[in-house]
Amino acid sequence: MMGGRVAKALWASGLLLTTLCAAPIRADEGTEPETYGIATLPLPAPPHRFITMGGFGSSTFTIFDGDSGKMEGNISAGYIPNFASSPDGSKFYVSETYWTHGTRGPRQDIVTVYDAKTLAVEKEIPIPSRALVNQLHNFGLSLSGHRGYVYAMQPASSVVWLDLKTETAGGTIDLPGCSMIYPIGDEGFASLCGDGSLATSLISDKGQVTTTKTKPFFDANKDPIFDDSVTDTAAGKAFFVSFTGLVYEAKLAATPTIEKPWSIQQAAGLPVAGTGVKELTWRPGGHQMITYHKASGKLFVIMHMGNYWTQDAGGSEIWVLDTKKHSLISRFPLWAVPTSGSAAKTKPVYFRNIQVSQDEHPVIFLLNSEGNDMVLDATTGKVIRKIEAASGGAVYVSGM
Amino acid sequence: MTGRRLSPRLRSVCATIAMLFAFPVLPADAGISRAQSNFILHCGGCHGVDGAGNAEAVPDLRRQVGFFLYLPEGRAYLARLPNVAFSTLNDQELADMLNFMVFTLGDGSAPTGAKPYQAAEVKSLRSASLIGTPLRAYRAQLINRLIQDYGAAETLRDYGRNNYGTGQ
Repeated sequence: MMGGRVAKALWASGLLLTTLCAAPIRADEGTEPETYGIATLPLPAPPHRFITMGGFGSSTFTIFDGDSGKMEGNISAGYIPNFASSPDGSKFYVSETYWTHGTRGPRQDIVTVYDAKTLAVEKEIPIPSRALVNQLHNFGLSLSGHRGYVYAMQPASSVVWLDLKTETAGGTIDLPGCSMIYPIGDEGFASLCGDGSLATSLISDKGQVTTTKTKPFFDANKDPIFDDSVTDTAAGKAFFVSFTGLVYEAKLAATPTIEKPWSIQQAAGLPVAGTGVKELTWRPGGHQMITYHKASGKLFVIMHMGNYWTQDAGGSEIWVLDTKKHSLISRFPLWAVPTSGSAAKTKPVYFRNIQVSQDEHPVIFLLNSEGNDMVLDATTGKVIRKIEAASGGAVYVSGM
Repeated sequence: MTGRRLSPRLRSVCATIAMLFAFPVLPADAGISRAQSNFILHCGGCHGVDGAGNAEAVPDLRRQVGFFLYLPEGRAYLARLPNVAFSTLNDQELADMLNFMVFTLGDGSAPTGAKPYQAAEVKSLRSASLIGTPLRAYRAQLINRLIQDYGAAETLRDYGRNNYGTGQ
């Protein structure tokens, strides 16, 4: 009977399908079956979360949990983006640029607001301009997170400020000769200027802006300050580090004060480093070479052996400094870290980006020249884990 | 006295050494002045090696930068701009570079009989940089006067005309 044959055929094909479908499970007995779904990120954020940006040209922010080493999420962004997290960790902000036809067409600059649990886009805030650099202090939030600041260079050196309560652009502040954003509480921000001064821009509740300048405290042509210098916004403090390794502690306020500098090298028992192009000594260098642990007052600096004007070179050691006593606490030599891949053992690995978590048991996040992320114990310098081929452009932590 | 003549090999070595020493003077022979090479090194990255960049993002200097010399404030403005004032060039080098920019790249836009910048003048102007000044508004009022009162080119308004970020 036809009906019987159909039934048999159906039975046979059903058996075959069942076998096929069951095969992957049978083949990999003991492994965890993968399931899909929409994950959410934990809030509050885990204390050792860090966010990296892909190498130059790759516009992705990747969120990692440093404790598990697991990638928690990805944010795809526009051209040379900047990242910020709200103080309570509930929102992520990405300052980014697009051209409507990819590499051409009308340009659009926006700050995109993400829900930090679902990574859903909540809002796109159009802004008039932004500078296309991935420096940390190109984009920042005020202490409470109610304001945002975007450094711009078009048509001239300026800062676009945002009201993040209404999620709108507030206005543009001209800053000829000055750049970068170091937030001062909720009142405004400080910037470094080409004549060696610090500019302070305060924005009133009504949006009125006043900018004042200190007397020059450094020489931008002889011993410039790293734009990746660090701040503690809640304490109103900044540590400006110069190319030679001088640390200027500053109080950021309506009337800022800047202390006499101390030398990183002198803190380590070495002579103060000079500006000699043949003066080989330990020097700070890299891309994001300085990070600060607020509660302990420790400064972590990536150091390398080099002559003057080698400030972009990556480092082989992390120096831990006591900012109160102006003394060296420890040096973490990292040459011993094993390398992987074809370059192993033949090519030295160096480090250009460092950030420290802000919790009680802090860890250091380090990006190395192989594009790997490393997690270190910030007290002992011991390598806790290495995450291969993850990133290269920049690293961020919550709470900075 | 053939024994005292240099061997061909030694002659070629000597020629190579002579060429190496001769190299630093070549740019001058090629017609590039120190002022022009300073412009290329210190300004050309954004303004373009011939003074023409993306005019809406960076002012086009060709045939129009000299207009600023119609006004004393305009003449001062060029040396007081922070990127000019904070240059690593010394006063004389900066004066020479400004003169190259105004009279060569500016190509006829400066008023007839305009005096070249002098080192002492540049020293005084650069010490009063426009740092902290609302620069766009300051430039706008300067070029309004230059266009209305001195017939300066309308193209001075190209700089900053479009708001890039909003895609207009």
